Amino acid sequence: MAEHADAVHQVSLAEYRVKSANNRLGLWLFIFSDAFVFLGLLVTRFNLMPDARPELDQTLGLIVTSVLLASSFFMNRAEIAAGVGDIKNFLRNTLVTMILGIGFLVGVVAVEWPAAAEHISVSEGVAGSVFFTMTGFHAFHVLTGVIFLFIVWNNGRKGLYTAERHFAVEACAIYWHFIDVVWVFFYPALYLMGSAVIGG
Amino acid sequence: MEEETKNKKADYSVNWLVLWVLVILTAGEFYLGVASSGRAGTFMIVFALLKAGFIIASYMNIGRIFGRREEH
Repeated sequence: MAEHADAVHQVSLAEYRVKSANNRLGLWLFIFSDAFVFLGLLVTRFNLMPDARPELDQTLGLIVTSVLLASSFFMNRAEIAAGVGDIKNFLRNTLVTMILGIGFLVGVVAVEWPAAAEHISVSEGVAGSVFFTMTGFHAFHVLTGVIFLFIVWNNGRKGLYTAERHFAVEACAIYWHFIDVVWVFFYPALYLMGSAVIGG
Repeated sequence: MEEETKNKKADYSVNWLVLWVLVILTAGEFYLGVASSGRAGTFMIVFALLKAGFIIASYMNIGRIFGRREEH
C-alpha cells in the first residue's frame, strides 16, 4: 500500500491538477445525465398523480429528510478537512456521513416501505408504483454512495490523501450532495404535495 | 499558512450557514405541506429550488468546474 501511495505522489502536482479538472468535468457530466433520470421520475409522478400523493407518514418523511440533509453537512466538513490535510477530522466526518446514510436507508427501506405497503402496493394503482420506483431508485443511489464513502474512508485511513491531492474525496462529496439534491425534490413530491390517496 | 486557516474558517462558516438555511426551509416546507393539506405546491417547489441551489453552489462547489478556487 505504501508503494501505491508513493506512486500516486510521483505524479507532479501540476499534472494532478489538470487530471482533476478533467475528471471533475466528467463527473459533472455524469451527474447531469443522471439528473435526467430522476427528472423523468418526477415528471411521471406529477403526470400520473397531479393533485394527489401516496398515503405516507409525513413525520417519518421529515425525519429521513433531516438525516440526509445532516449527512450532507458532515460530508462537506469531511471535504473541508481533507482540503487542509486534517485527515483525523476527515475520517471522523466521513464515518458520520456513512452512518447517517445507512440510517436514511434503514428509515426508507426497513421502516417506510413496510408502513407504506399497508396502504399502497405496486400492483394496485399508480401511487404504489410511483412511490416504490422513486424511493427504490433513490435508495439504490444512496447505497452506492455509502459504498463510495467506505472506499474513500478506507483509502484515507491508509494515508492516500493529502491537502493537495484528494480529488476522490471531492468526487465522493459531489456524488453524495447530488443524492441529497434529488431527495430535496422527491421529499415534497412524495410526502407533502397533493392530497393523500389510499390504495390509489 | 495564515491564509489557509482563514480559508478553512470561512469554509466552516459557510458549512454551518447552509445547514441553518436547509433546516429553516425544510421546516417551512413541512409546515406548508401539513397546514395547506398539500395545496401550496408552488411554494414547496420554490423552497426545494432554493435548497437545491444552496447545496449545489456551496456544498457541491459547482464554481470549481469553471476553475474558481481550484484547490484548497
